[in-house]
Formats: sequence, C-alpha cells, structure tokens
Amino acid sequence: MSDAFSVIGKRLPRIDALSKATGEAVYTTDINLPHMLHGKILRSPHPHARILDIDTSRAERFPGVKGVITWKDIGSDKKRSFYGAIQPDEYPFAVDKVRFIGDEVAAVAAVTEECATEALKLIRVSYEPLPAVFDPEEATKPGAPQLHEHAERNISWRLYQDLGDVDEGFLQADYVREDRFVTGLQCHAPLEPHAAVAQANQDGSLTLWASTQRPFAVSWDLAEALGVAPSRIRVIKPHVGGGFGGKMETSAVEFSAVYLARQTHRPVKVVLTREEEFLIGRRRHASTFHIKTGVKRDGTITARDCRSIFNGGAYNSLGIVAVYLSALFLNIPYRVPNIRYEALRVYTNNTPCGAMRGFGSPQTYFAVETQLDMIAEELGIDPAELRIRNGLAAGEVAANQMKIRSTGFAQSITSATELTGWHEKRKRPKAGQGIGIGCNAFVSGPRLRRLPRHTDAHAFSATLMRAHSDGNVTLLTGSADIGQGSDSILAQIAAEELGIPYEQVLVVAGDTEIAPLDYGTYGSRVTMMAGNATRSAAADLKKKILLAVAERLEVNQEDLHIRNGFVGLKDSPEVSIPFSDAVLLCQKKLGGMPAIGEGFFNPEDEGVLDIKALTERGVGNYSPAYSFGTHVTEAEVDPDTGQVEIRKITNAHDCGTPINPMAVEGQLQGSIVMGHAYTLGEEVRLDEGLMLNPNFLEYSMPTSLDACPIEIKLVDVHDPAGPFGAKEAGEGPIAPTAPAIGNAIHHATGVWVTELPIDPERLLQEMERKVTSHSPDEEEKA
Amino acid sequence: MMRLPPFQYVAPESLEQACRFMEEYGSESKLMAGGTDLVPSLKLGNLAPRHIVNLSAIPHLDEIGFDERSGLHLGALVKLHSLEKSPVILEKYPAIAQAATCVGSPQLREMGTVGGNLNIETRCLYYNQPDFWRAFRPTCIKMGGDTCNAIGGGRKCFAVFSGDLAPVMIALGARATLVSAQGERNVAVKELYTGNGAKPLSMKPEEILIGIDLPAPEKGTSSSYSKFAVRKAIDFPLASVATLVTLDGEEKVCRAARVVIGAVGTRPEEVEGIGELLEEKRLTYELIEEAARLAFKAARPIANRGSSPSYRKRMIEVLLRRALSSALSDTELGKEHMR
Repeated sequence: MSDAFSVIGKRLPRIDALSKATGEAVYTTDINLPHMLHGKILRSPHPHARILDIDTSRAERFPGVKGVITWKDIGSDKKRSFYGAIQPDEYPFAVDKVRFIGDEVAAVAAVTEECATEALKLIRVSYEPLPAVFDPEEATKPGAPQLHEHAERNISWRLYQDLGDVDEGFLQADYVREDRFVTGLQCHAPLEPHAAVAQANQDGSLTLWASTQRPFAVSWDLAEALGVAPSRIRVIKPHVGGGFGGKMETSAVEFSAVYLARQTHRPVKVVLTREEEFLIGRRRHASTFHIKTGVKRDGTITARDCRSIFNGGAYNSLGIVAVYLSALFLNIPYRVPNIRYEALRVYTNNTPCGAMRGFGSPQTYFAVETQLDMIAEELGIDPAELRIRNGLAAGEVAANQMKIRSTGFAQSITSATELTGWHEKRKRPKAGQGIGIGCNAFVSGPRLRRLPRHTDAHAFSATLMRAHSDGNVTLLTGSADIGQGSDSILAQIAAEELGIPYEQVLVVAGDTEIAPLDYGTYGSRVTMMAGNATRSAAADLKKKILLAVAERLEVNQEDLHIRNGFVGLKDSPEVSIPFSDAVLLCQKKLGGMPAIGEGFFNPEDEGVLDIKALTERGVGNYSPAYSFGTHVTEAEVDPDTGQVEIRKITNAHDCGTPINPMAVEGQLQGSIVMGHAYTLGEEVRLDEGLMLNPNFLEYSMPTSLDACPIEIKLVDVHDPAGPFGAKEAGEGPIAPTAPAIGNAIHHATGVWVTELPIDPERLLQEMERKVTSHSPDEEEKA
Repeated sequence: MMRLPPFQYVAPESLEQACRFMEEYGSESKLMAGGTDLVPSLKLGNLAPRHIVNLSAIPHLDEIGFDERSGLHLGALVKLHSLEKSPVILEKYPAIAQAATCVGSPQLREMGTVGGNLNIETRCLYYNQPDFWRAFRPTCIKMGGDTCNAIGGGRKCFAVFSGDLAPVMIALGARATLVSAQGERNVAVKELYTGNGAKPLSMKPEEILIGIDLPAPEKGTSSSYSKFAVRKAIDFPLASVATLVTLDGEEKVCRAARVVIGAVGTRPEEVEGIGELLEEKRLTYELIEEAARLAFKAARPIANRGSSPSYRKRMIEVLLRRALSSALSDTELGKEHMR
C-alpha cells in the first residue's frame, strides 16, 4: 500500500463502532412515535389457492383495531402496485390467488401487537385450494399447475447465451466431460428482521423509516403505487441489522405500514417475527446445473455448454437477475472462447427466491470449480496450475464483452497456495484430510440503473459535501450502510481527498429527503459508485477552498495542498493555514455562501449497457471493475459419521487497493462463514412448501464454535476505475467456499461432492461405495 | 416480537407452600426453575398455563451432596453449570458433567437446572412453532388435536425427548424424589417418562421433583455420555448415548453394563439385551459391534427433527461403538463428545 496516503489503506475503526457497541444505535424497531399503532400481516396457509372471498368485518369491529387492508384498498392496477425486477408479477397483497405459504392476504393495525395478532384470526378468507407444484422440472411439464397466466410452462425467465462457435470448440478439445450439480436454498437470516414505521402527514406526504438496502427504491415504488410525487415520500434508513440482498425490494412490510398509516391517520409499525422472516424472506435459489466442458491436453478450455434450472418460487422478486448473473459468471475468471448456456427460472409454489449475497455466483462456481478439479485429476494437472493457465489477463475481454481492466487472479492463486503449503499437502495427504482449491470473480457494481421506470438523467451515485467553519465536513449520501461499514469507507475517501483527519468527516446517509439520489446497496456497488461520487465531491470542495487560499496567499493553486487538516505550500512547510480558516476564506470569497462540494459518478464511459442483451443473453460489460479471489481449504472427514470439519480456509482476494484492510477482512470473513454454512450446515427443511425450521434453533447457522479459522491475504492490484483503486470485497468470496470444501473432501476421500448442502449421510454412503469398489477410477469415468 | 401470554405468577418460599399451591392448582399450573425450556414454549403458544410456579426461592434445593455410602444427591435446582465444575461429579460421575456441558450454551447452563432438564418437554418440528405457523396445518395431537403432521395422518404423537441429562441418569441408576401435599415418593428416573410424545412426563400434576440420588460408583465403573448434533453448541441432540460399564481386572471382564439411548424416541430408552450380551464376558471389539447393532435396532426415530431417521439410527450405533471402544482401550471416559 502506498505511503502517499494518510487515511486510505489504514485500519481505522468504523464511525459507528461506539454507538453500536454500546447499544445507542437506533434501528427501525427502536422507533416509537406518539399514538403509534402496530400492524400484523395475514398470510396464506395454502401453497396455491384461489381467493373466493375475504371478509374483514369481524376484525374491523374487534376492540383496539383501527385499520384493516386487503388488495381492495390498494387496487390491482398493474402499472402502479406491481413489483419484481425486469418483469413485475406481484402485488403487495394477493389479488386473485395465493401462490405460496406465507403469501400476504391482509393486514391489521391495532393499538397493540397482541391485539393485531388476535384480530388477524377474525378475518375470514374463503379459498379454493389448487394443485401445487414444488419441483421446477415438474413445473415445466405439460399439465403442471400454472401459477401465472403470463408464464407458460411456468417459465419465469429464459436466458440463452451463444458465444463463439461451441461445436467447433468441442471439436478442438482433447477431453470433454459433462457433470450435474445441485445446490440448495439459503436464507439471509439478518439479525434484524424486516421492519418499517410509517407516518402519514395531513398534506398527503409520508415519512417511512425502513430497514432497507435501497431507500430511494422504496420511495419510488411507494410513489408509483400511491400516485404521489417521490419527493413527498421521505424514506429514512436508520441503522440496519444486515440485509445480504434480502432488503433490496419494497415488500409487503413497507406497503402495509404505509397503507395502514394512511387509512388510520396514525403512525404504524410493522416488524416481522423471526419465523415470518424465515418464511417469506426471498431466498437464494436452489439450482441444477448440467455443465459440459472441453479442454486441450494442457488444460486450455476450448468450449463450454451449460444448462441450468433455477427454482424461482412463486414470484419473480429479483430472481431474474440471478439468472443473467449466472451467465456472466460462466465468462469470468476463465477464458472460455465458446460458450452456450440455457438458463431457466421456473415458478413453483415455494417462497419466492431473489437476491442474496454473491447473487448467482455460488451456484455457478460450485459447478464450474468442482468440474475443473475433475478435469485436472483426469489430465494429471495440478488444479491450481490449471486455473492459472486459463485465467483472463488484464486487458482481455471475455467472450460476453466483459472487460478486465485489472486482475490479481493469478496472484490470488499463488498467494493462497504458498500460504498453505499447497504443493506439499497435495502430494502427501494425511489420512482423512484433504486440501482443495476454489476460485471466483465478481462485479464491482452493475453499470445498470435499478429503478425500472427511471430516467437516465440521474447519476448512479451523487454526493454533496458541506465544509463547516470549524473544519469539519458533512457528507450527504443516498447510499445505504446496512452494517457492511460503507459510511465509514466514504468518510475515509472524503478525508483522504480533502487532506483532513478521518474524524472530521461526518456522514449523513440514507435519507431520501436530504441526500441526492443513489441506487443503494447491492451488487457490491457502494465503494465503487458512492465512493467515486464522494471522491469527486471532495475534489470539488477542495478546489474551491484552495482557490480561495491561493488568492489570499497570492500563489498558484497548483502549489497548494491539504495535509492533516492544514493547507500549505507544497515546497514551503512553514506556510500552513488550518483547514477551518481555509473554509472561512472560501466562504468569504463566495460572499458568504457555504463551501459546498458536489460530486457524482457514472461508469458509462463506453456507452449505456444494452439491457436486452444483458438480461436475455448475458452479454455486455456489466461492471466497471471485476474482483478475483481464491480459497484454499483444508478439511477433515470423519469416516464414521461423514461429518466434515474445516481446519482452515485461506482466502487471497483481489479487492483492488483496499480502502480499509480491516473492513475488507471483515467482509471476507463474513462471506466465508456464510459460504461455509451454505455448504455444510444451513438447510431449509420443507414439507409441501412449508419451512419446518424457521428459527435460529433449527436453521443451523454456525455458532462461534462452528466457524473455522480463516486467513486472509489481500491482493492489492490498483484498479483504474475504483476510487483510489478499490474494487469489490463484500460478496464474491462467498462463492469459492463450497467448491473448495468439496474439492478438499475429494482429496481426503476420493468422493466428488456434487450436491449442496453436503449431506453427511450421503457422503458416508459414497465413501463406503468407494472403499468396496474395486476400480474407483473406472466408476468415475462412467 | 414474541410476548408471553398472560398468567398468574407465584414464587413460593417454602416447599410446603409450593405443595399446598400445587395441590389446589396443579392441573392448571406449570412449574418453573430456570425457565429455559418453559419460556420459549409459552411464547410460541405451545403451553398456556393459568399459573406459573417459580421454584427458585425454595431453599436447599440447589445442593450437591456426596458420601461413599449413600452416593450422590443432586437438588432439583442445581444449575447445569454447577454440574460442569463440581469436583466430586468430575471425579466420580464424569458422564454427568459431560452431559451438562453439552446443553445449549453457557448462558443457558447458568439458568437451566437438573430438575428442569429432566422434565424437559418433547420436541417436534411441527410442534415447536408459533401459533400462526401451526395454523397452516391441522391441530396436532400434542396441541390437543387428533392427527400427527410429522407422519401424515398419524394417530400417535412421536415428539422426541431431547434432554441431555436423562439418559445418563438412567444409565447410572438414579432415583428421583417427588413430593406433594400427600407425601413423598421415590421412583427410578426411568419411570419419569411415559413414552407418549404428547404427554411425556409421568409426574402427577400436583407433584414437584425435588432431587435425585445416585449410587456411589463401583470400582472399575466408567460412564460416558456422547451427543450427536449438527452444531457444537446450542443444538438439542439428534442422537445420544449414555453408557455405564464395570470392568473387572486386567482381563476386562464386564460385570455390569447399561446403555441408554436418547433423542431417537419419545423417551430415553434403555437398550434391551445389553446386560445379557456383555455381562460376565471379556469385553472385545466383536462384542462391541454386537452391542452397537442392538442399539441401532432399538433406535426408532422418525422425520420430526433435523437429519434423516436412518442417519440418526446410524449415529446411535457409531456413538455406542466409540463409547465402548473407549472403555476397552482404557482411555478416560466421559470425554467423548461428538459434534
């Protein structure tokens, strides 16, 4: 890391560390307003049923009840209150049909939560149960129950990518293999469930406090539904206890709070219980991948032909994005000149699946990375070496047009293998122990506007900055810190650019009324986009201040700099003006106008991304920068129980130049623990669409005793697009966890892991089959 | 947020007071010690007693006593955490300490008690759910209905007894003292369990468990408790095995052997035929295999908890094989704890 920086690259504590550690930090649930009511939501008990009638009269008369809403109060105007990315298909409350257990049917506001809960029991809904389908392959067959009128064979989305000449690519191959991989569901399980508090004002405006990743999206969605100007709907994001992709959408929680507040003229709070959060939270898609890859004798990939099917659940949510992202991930980090990929997302009567950390990449890389090890074994090539040989280099363009401007991919492999003694351990495994590798690439924010009915007159991110005469600076951003620490990263970027101490930057974030528009937190975009916007605002402010100082000192502006809160002449250290005085000089020069910096960021230096090509074919340079990483995982398998103990995960990650290495490490560790759980522990147990383990006792997230030791190595490769060279860190590293564990298990036992989560019983059976089989290699090929 | 339902709270300061209260209101009351099992059930709406009788204020129920002649006495209010650190338990009854260490988390063990853990309610994925969730399915037998949702349309309740202490106590031959206004009675801990998942505890509504007594261990006796769960903390067992083995001399002749399996049925179950198989014989690995098969057959889990029934059966076999092999190889027992 460069010593030229005074704030960037430093392990600084978060700006909210103290308030969170002491419990002072305010979350949505903590907000209580005078005369506030409590809302509860009535949910469908059926996976699929027609709604014949809803009678709310008894609930309305129940003492303490102040409001009841159903779809009738919202209307069924598809242009207004219909949501879901790319192809909206869902109302806040079910209109004609319910399509999964937990689907929202009505909501009640009452003086207490208990009263609202009791009143829900008085709502009479007449259902006509319909046949339900839970398996995506079944759902596409003729005669299967159809969930939505618009979707024949229940296909929610089909993507078809055909790049290069796949048939020719396979002709060039010396070795071809085809394998099938299956992945399971995963819940976000944020510590803070979905929550919202709405206040309807007399003038028709609204204030909504919401636990969300995208305050502006919530504001725009509600404006659309209510027919109100977006600026009249103020969405404030208090501290958020985790999102992981699950709080990207406006949900029935926000709609309920808002409609009930308008109906009752009293503030309304809606907070999901833990069980509701598990039941209706938009999960990570379960998937099946058939992947066929051709390679030359030296391991060079010549072609890939892939089919996948994603179990989408009842609605689109953000799920279509997972489909086209999976197409992107087939194109990086390896050079695959010829790719054919057909992906289907299928409606079923399960809880809808949507966005989740890593979004489409854990499924894709589980297939790609496991199969690469199978190929390496077959060809007798070291799996690490095979990966290095195929990695895209800086300056290369992937088959689908993604441009690799910077990459530390090869370094990440070299670092992780060197740190773990890879070559030695691969050669001499200890009984029951194995070491495996897995790699990935990820995006640093999409070059795509995520508000569908939105004009491109807005920047992707914009930041305003105001310098105070005491030398502090307030930064206004619409980006959303949901616990990942982005507010602190923006403060570091502002402090570095301005040359003032980190402590002098105050961040006001996530309030749609005061901050300029920002698309929020998803796709690992905040550091890249809000970071660049912040840097640009700081540069603007600095320019104004230096101009004023230059005039006063009668020097050239270029000869001045700001260091540690003092403006000085670059060549004469004795000239030094405190930043606070410089702010006053600036204001004076401006006739008393406040010293303001304005900044924005648009990554479109190469034109607007073609949305049709992206969503239907997975083609286009999706992100301004791509991150790369490698896991090397050491695992031990218990021969009696089939249980897998992870001894250590070593992750070398190319995050560009880290703004705060401590924060990056935290993000990597979080991804790894979540990936570890996805692989070995967390299982959504279902019975006809009903989740049987919707609580922290039975949904086995790892405890501190279950998490494994983690070693992190940051590969610092400066990226030209990133603020101070920074790229993604918060999502990508979840993806290699499963294949690296699976590959370590294969090294330990000879068994390939092709299904997630890993079932110890199945592993045990396959280990036994391995032992009794005379020629395991033969069996493998067959 | 989940809140407690309304109830009347009573905290008697003497056993007499408590007995008098239970004599009158026992059938509509629930006893509470640490509350770690009861409070979640109240919040979920599984139980809705009119009275909660907190026993914590009753003196002398939290004592641990030992002498070589009469053995070990544990008051019902002894905290699980106290079992983990008691020198006499660590030395003479390591399996008890081991079982206590397996429960929940340090915070739960600071609250949970011996009496509470022995009287834990049976569990089922279809039962331990909030009201709104249970409303998605017909009312199950344990909630007062007439059908089992875990076995579609089943007419019997298979809710699982998942306490960690009970298998050990049964293996060690513990007896429980129950009192009521009518007097005191003493029963084998084994007799505390009915085998009916819907109503798993045999104590009468007016009775209070005040303590348990265990014989002093014979020379050459070793005991063990092993637990199988997905995580290393928090989880209830998916399978567990408690053993007691007395081996005589260099020859390792088995003089006494008892095996109790837990978390694979509606009550902790002593594996039948273990005594006949092992007693008065030299313990060998071949015999251990046979014993493990017996335990495997005795376990009859159904799909109403985590992991598959077939896997849980298999884990019973593995746990027992490991426990007895450990006894044979003379390594320290009671230390075995699987994930």
